[in-house]
Amino acid sequence: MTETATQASPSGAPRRGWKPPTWLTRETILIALTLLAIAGATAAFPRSFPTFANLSTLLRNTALDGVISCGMVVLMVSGVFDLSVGSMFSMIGVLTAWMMTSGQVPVPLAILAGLGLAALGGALNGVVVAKVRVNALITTLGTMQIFRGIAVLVGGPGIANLPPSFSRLGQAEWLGLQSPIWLMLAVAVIGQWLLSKTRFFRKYYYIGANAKAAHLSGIPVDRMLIAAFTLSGLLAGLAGMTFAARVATASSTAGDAAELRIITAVILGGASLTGGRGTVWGTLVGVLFISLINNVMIFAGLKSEWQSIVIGSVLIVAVALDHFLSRKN
Amino acid sequence: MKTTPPVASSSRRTWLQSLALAGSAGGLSSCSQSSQPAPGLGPRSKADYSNEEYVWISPNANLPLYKAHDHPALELAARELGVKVTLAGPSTTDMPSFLTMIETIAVRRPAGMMVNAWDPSATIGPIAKAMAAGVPVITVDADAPASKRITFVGTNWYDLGVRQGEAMVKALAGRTGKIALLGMIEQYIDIQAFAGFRSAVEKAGVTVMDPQHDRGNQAVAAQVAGSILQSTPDLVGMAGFDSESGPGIGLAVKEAGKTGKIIVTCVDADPVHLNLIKEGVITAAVGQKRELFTYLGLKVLFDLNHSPVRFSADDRKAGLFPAPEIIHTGTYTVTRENVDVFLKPA
Repeated sequence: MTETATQASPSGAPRRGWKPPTWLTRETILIALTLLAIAGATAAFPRSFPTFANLSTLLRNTALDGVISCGMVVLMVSGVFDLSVGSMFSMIGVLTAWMMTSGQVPVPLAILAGLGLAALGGALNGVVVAKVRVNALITTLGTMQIFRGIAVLVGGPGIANLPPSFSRLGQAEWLGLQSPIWLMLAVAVIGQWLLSKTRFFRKYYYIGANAKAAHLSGIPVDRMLIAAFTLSGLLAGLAGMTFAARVATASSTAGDAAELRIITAVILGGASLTGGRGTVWGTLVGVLFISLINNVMIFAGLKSEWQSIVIGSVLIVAVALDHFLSRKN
Repeated sequence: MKTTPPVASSSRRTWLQSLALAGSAGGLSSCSQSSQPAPGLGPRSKADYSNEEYVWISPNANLPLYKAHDHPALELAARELGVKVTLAGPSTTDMPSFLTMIETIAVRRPAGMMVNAWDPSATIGPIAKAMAAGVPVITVDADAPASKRITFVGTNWYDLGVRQGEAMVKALAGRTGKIALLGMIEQYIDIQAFAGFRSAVEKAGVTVMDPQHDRGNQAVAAQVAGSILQSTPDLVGMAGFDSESGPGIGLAVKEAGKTGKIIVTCVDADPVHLNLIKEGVITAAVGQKRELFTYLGLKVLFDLNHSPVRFSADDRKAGLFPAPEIIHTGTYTVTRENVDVFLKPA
């Protein structure tokens, strides 16, 4: 039996030690750290850091991780994750490029076909996890290797000279911001609305909290998991295609190691590996935070090795603090 | 309940077993391919060497760079000599797996091994074990100079750095300021290249910044280069030292609207680099003669087994081998002046 130190409050009712305010969560801590980093960098580099050019550079290089993360957060809310997103990113970029160049497929058709293949790849993950009951780690570890192999087989040293009509899609600018940034914002706004306001997507929280109870209460857990994996694959493929358009080349290694970076960002942003929590906005803050740390450390002239140390440390501290606060609450 | 007739069931089982075997043969990390000598392209002598197996092994074995250059040249040399070659290595930079594979393959006693020694210290032990087992070992691309390897065939990375530095100095034409370096900063060959670059550039009064890691990935290189462009107002140049650095730096420079203002040099001259040279984004790319790593490497290994050249009554006992210790394959520099030659298909 746990003993709790109590003392009488002025009203006479027993008080059970410090209870943190409910607004103090991992997400709010991350937002505070992000604002602190921005404030610190602005103070240290007032001429070069807080400029539109630096902001758009930061967002441009964050954007496609942001797109993929929107799919990952839905998976992690439901208690699973997808390690194949980086390989999917590379594979779909390469396959779409191959269709447009060697395959002579018109650009719009190649894009649609690429998205279709991405959804199919995601659905494959979903079926194996939900119906065959192989756990998500093993399934997506396997498909990560398969997708990577396909990317290298088809893409070889890379596919250059992509049609200008395709490259324009990744390079277009509006209000000084490049199209990947607008894509991220659109996906995030839609994603946040779906996850917080629609009945269908809110069910993922129930699945993440207790899949068995969700099933018993009539939620079609298997079908919803397949849908979530399909969405994750689709968004990873869309991001890969957009990157190929942005650089006008499809590289078969473009998405290597992206999965761990994205999972880190999603967890930093409030999701849990066991499911039941997470938001799109929190995820975006996580993605932005990682990019921001890298950006600030380059401004500070710190070596690359320190960036990894800082990100890893922040992840552990943020999650540990979050667990501490949850127990107190 | 549906039943299938026994004959069909056993056929299906056999078919499934064959498929599983075929699938596992192309598994996660693997000895992936062997080539048989093509008919009509026999070895130099009348002897049949078709059972001699030579193994190429590297981390990141499926890297597009290797598939484009090293592997085809190895196959070409194999056909000329009439021998069999096997490509091996993990498809990631998983060093423990790579080191284990060297030792595992050595147990098979192939006729020779060429090892891409990404980590020059870690490979010392496995190379020694292979040599002790009687398997001649050479290194290609990345060397392990402290190991027992017989020969190294590859680029002199210090020289490569000097070439890039010279191209940078020429393009700067007297401008001073800072130059950023991007690459796989923990890799031995990059460290050598950084040193060579510094030696050529610092004489010109330019400050070379500490190298930044781009993880051998174009997107990461673009992100890092983008931040450097914003954070360093007196930046005059950027130099990349792995095959993905140049395209990543080029992308960042283009997107920042600094084409022509920031001098960019890089390693490797594949179509993606050449297109950026044509656009004026990259000033110079120093290409490696990668095909020679494996083409000459296989011939060195073959000679270690068959060369008639002798230095003593017992060369093995004396620790002598009919091969040079180091073969530097040289580099070439591509600029806007000669890029059209390289853009044409070979």
